[in-house]
Amino acid sequence: MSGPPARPLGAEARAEIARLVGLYEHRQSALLPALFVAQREHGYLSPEALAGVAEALDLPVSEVASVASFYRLFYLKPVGRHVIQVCTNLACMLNGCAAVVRRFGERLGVASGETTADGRFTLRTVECLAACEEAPAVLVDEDRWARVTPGDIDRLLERYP
Amino acid sequence: MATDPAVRTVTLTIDGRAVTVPPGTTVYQAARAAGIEIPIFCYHDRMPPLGACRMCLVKVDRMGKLQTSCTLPAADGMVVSTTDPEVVAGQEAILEFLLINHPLDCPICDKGGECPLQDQTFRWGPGRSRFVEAKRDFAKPVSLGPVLTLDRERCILCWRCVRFGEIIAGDDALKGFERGFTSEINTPFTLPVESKFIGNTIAICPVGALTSRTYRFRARPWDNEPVPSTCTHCGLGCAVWFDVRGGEIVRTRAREAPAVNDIWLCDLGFFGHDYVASGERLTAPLVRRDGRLTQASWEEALDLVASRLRAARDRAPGRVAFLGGRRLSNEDALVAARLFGEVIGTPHRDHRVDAPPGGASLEVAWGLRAPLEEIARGDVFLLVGCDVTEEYPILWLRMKAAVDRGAALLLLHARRLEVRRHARWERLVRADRLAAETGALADALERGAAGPPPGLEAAVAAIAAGRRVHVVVGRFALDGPGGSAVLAAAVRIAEHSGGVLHVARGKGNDIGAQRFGLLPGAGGWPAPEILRRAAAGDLDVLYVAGSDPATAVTDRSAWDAARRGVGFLVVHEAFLSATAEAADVVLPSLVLPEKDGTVTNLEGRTLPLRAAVRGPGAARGDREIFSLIAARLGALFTYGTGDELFEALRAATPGVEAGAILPVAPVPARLAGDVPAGAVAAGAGGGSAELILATIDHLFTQGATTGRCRGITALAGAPHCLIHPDDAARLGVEPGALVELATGHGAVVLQARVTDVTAPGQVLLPRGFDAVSAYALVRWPHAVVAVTVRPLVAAAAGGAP
Ligand code: SF4
Ligand code: SF4
Ligand code: FES
Repeated sequence: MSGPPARPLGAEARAEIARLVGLYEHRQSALLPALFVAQREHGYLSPEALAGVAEALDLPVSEVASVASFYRLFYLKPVGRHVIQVCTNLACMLNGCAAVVRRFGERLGVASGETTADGRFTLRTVECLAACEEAPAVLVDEDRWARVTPGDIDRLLERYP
Repeated sequence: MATDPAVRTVTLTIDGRAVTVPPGTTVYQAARAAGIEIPIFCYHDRMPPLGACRMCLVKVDRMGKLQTSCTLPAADGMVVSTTDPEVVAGQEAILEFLLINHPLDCPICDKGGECPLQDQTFRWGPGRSRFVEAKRDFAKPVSLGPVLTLDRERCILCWRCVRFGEIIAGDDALKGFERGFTSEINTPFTLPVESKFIGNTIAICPVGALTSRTYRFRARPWDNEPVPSTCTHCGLGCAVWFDVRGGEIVRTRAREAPAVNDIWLCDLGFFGHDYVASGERLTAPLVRRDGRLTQASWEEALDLVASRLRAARDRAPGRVAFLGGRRLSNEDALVAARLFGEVIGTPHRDHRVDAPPGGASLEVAWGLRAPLEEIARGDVFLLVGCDVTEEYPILWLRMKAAVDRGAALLLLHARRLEVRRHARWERLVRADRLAAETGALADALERGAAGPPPGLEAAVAAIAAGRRVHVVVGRFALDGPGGSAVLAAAVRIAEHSGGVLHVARGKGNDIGAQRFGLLPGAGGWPAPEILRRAAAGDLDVLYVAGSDPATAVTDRSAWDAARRGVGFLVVHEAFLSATAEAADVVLPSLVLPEKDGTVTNLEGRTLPLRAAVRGPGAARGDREIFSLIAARLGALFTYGTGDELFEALRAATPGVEAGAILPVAPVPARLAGDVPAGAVAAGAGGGSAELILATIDHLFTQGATTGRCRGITALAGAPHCLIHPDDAARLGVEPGALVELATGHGAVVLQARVTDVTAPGQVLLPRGFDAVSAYALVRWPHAVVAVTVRPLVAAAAGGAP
């Protein structure tokens, strides 16, 4: 990709990435934290944001995009103000996550992978939040909610304006 | 087991046979060396083992599980079986597993007939599948640019293509995306792949997941007749197979040549053959009558040419001049040199049609001064004005291998190179600063301890520490402002470091033309002087073969004046090129893939050409045409077979041997002067006169041949120029907008690419796009001119076609 990205990373993000690079022996090691920095600034990892990270780390854009696509916590498409991630892996499945997913869907009027019309919530199902001991588990933004039941959902949503 | 500590080996048993190999050999390699076949998918012997596909399973005594032989080092006393029932069951299981999601497109898959998955399923597969569930379903095929098609359903995720981009080419063109069940090979956002080597991934993909858009559905491999020959595009002379079907080259593949291209090609080589079969080839001689070119018989055309040559010779042999050679074979060049040198007696012959007057290109013999294999062992590469992937792609693969082993890549150019990520030091300067910067680097090296000026430290340190330094000077530096100064400084750097200086100059068979007599004889004029004399009326006949001076001469007005001033212009051409259109006689000639003979690559290596197809209509080989003319002038050239001609080549130049290198002449210690460093011709003045314009080389172009290759034309994209974001912002140029570039000599309209690949204050214009005459903007003796850039407001802003 030649030339600067259409909407480049901000100076702050670039400074933070430069700081991160200094923490590691290899610049590749700073890639995951740098992607979080870019995602925080742009809301998601747009092609421009990925190109910006690549440039800041002097890595190929293809490598940056490849790594970003591997992890579910990186969003390659725009998401709502809050991201709800419901675990549907084995332990949560056995403990009734299907009803939780259904209830979220009804309340928000969206299916998994979609964003509400007001841009407030994105709903996703994910594999394993590493919280099997408190299944069904739900992650909203960076908060983890344990043993969620359909009845909890109204109150839970109110916390995220 | 006897082990000599000096020559340590390991001996293991494979299928009951003792096999002795050097330590570090894998079980797979040991088996192969012993002629025992183990099926593989992910392993490729040009890359380290990965162990991704598990096809290569073997059973090893005292090891619990089946082992992947491609990753397992052979050890003394190891007992291996490749045929144990457990191995057979393992192989069947792996193939059954690989096939559960495979679409079995064999009847419509290009890979069919040369597909490792097909062959290995036939030989080692289970014969039936237990899988009844729905297969993975991807949109297909997906186009990844003009030459590559991706079918993700067929992909077995062996990672060969990804690792080729990381390990061999260094362009990271293809990557794995997503994970688990949804894993796929792709480019970011399925954008067109950015690579100059992607044809190689098609070649090494063990299934039909990566196929060629230009070859798709054209042939079955068993219908193709492969003809071994040599690629004649960039001048490195990669060994190729031309796959011929129905009298047409349908595909080009790499032919293994360890000393030159190993098993790789660049995409110009892979996709650069369509022009041969173009319907626009000239099939009959053309003679100008009443101002128009009209068809004529060979007899008539040759008689006319011979009579004009005879008349000119009778006046004075020096009233005839010959230009060209890049697209001739060695044998053609030799016969041309005899016709013009001996029969006509003119010393005015030159293949260096694209060299400007007074430039350093006219002062040195062109070519590399060390074999590619030795370059691969270098530990410092200093590239001065040489854009290695755009000019000599396969040379880069050698350098990349060395860089991965720790060699330092140092870049000094007026553009940022795509390989810059692999560089230890990069200096981007305007074209008019290149000579001064190279001089500063040479000075700093010679001063040694005094401490280099800021910015040069890393380069000086690397060169000073280097033991096998290669300094590569490219066309941009040689023919740019202060070309002689760059060359002189490069000579000093090479001398100081005990390194080798390479003159990376010449395309096609320029080196063969240089070697076999298409250079000025005693008292002869170099190409720019031939043009000047033609314009001045000092020539009666200008004879052109193997070149298109109307687009190659770097000052269009110099060519136009020469054409106007010369009484009679003869051209050998395959197409009605700009030169042919202006000629008095056009003789339809064969192109190199239609010829038997030899060419000489940039190393000075003699390489074979074999006619893959016959020429169209009445087109004839160049040397045959020269011989027919010689006969009319009373000289009989009696070269019977190709062998006799090759003997003549060897007699003309002792040391020429098939496949071997005969080095090109050394670089002279003293170099003549040229345009003073930093000189820039004044431009039209006004607005943005602080901008300069320089021309650069691109691998993919739209010239007479490349413009007739579908893949190459598309890869080249629309004619464009490169302008720095600072300048674009100042001048109001939007990315992708149409702009007018104007100098005091002419103007062109093309698309602007806004990019920091160029230096601020400098517009770069790729040459080789016949639709945009870059050389109409330049006037000798200046290679670089002041330019004004005017955005065409109403034009398609952002519309990159
Ligand atoms: S596309 Fe071909 S080479 Fe690349 S991973 Fe898939 S099967 Fe292997
Ligand atoms: S590197 Fe040169 S010789 Fe080799 S394939 Fe490419 S154009 Fe042909
Ligand atoms: S060939 Fe050995 S694991 Fe793929």
